[in-house]
Amino acid sequence: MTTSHDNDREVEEFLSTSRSPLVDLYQKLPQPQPDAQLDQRVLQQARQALAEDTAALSHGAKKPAPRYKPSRWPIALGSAASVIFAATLALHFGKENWQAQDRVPAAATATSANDVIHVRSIDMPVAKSVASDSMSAPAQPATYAAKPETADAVTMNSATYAHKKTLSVSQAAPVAAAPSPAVENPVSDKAAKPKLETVEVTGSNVRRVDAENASPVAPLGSEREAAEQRASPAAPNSEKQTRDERDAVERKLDIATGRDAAMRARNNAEPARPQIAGAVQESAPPIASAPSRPASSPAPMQAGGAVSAAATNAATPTVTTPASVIGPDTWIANIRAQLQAGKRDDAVRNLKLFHKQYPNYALTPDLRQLLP
Amino acid sequence: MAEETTDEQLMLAYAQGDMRAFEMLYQRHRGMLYRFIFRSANNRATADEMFQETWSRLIAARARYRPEAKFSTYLLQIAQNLIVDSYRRNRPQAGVEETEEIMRTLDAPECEQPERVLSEFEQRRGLQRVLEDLPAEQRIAFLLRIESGLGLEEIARVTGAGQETVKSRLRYALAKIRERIGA
Repeated sequence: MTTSHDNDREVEEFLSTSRSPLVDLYQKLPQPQPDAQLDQRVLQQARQALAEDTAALSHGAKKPAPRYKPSRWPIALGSAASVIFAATLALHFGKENWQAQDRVPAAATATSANDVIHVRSIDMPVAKSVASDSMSAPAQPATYAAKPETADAVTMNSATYAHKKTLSVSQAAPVAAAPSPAVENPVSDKAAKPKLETVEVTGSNVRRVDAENASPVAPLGSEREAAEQRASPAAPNSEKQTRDERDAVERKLDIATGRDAAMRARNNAEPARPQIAGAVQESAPPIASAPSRPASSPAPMQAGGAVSAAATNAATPTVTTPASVIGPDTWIANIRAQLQAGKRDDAVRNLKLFHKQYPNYALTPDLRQLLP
Repeated sequence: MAEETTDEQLMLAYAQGDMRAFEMLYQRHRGMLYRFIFRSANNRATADEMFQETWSRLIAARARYRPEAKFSTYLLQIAQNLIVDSYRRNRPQAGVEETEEIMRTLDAPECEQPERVLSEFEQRRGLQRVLEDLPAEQRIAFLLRIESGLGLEEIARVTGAGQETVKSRLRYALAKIRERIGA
């Protein structure tokens, strides 16, 4: 009986041995061979295939194949160059953006630390006291006279102020009143103006040119003069005319205040600019934001009002006098003193000026007779 | 070209344009291939056609040839595909009933089996007939082994079947041949 195990063994023997009765029997079978024609067909087909290959190669060699190679390289090179260029640009701008992002917090810190100027609330200085000081002290250069007031008016946070900012504010503040056309009444201004609240000025605004131009702070020297030119459109173009008019006003003030010629000469001997600046400094608050008042408006300060009117008429708003703040009674007393001293002409001019400034003032008959 | 040059080298040389290499390759395998096809097709005209078609496919695939396996395996795989296609077009494969019949015969008692001693001529004739009657897969597996000398792994590669499947096919083929010729 043949079992499956015997069949497996038979298969193993059939696969392992090359000689067996079955193999011998198979080899005794007829061994057909392809005929010669079939061999020739196959060989001919093989030769024809090689001939086609040779023809294709020769045909390909005749073709201007190198034409395609140069046309492919520029495309590849151009594409590669474009990719490299784009990658370089992306890397460059990406790096700039990263750096900008890194700088933004630092810049913000610098702004908050260095550029922010804190101005505490200030009280308007009492012009009366300034005027009284100006009566006893001559005019001083602006930078010299302004420092105490600036220190009081603008107090900076020492922790956050930049020194440069402090200098710019302290130097510019006293000259800020230079464009003011007339001497104002500080007492009334103090009552009218609201008290300044804390002002925070950022560094960006300080640096801006527009902010600087729009600032009430006037520069010194030539810049200050230019600022005066801009602030007072009615100002004379000729410096000589300005000087003459200033002299005229000062003469009137001398008459009004009874200041002697020696003091006037001394004032004239001093440089005009510091005198003017000092007068402005002493008569005007450090922050010149008050609007100019019309000259015809009543004012308790006679001399101040007179000077303001004279300055307005003379179109020299920057020329003021330290002795401008006197009462009408004092002014009348000075006029009487001039009459007693034999200076009738001066007394008459002074009286005219007084009457123009105080038309409702009740003059005594002797003085009224002097008026035309 | 030297005689000891392998089939794979000859095929590569022909792919490079060496016609002499192809002629040597053809002389080495023409008989084996033709017999394998002839015994599988059982028709000379069909064998000639498939023989030429096999070489034609080899020639056409010369540029793509890679010596990853024996050249004979590669050549017989082309022929086997043609044979299978021809069988599928012309003859149905052996069904389950035929296989069951073979198994019943194998399981039959020896006393019931015809005991007869055949002459050598009768044995060769019987072998030819049994080869013709074998299912295509069994016949191809048997011929690949007995004609081309391929092993189990190579037969499996040529036929695309598993080794156990090939072994089973060979088992059935040998059983049927032994039944017919008693060898």
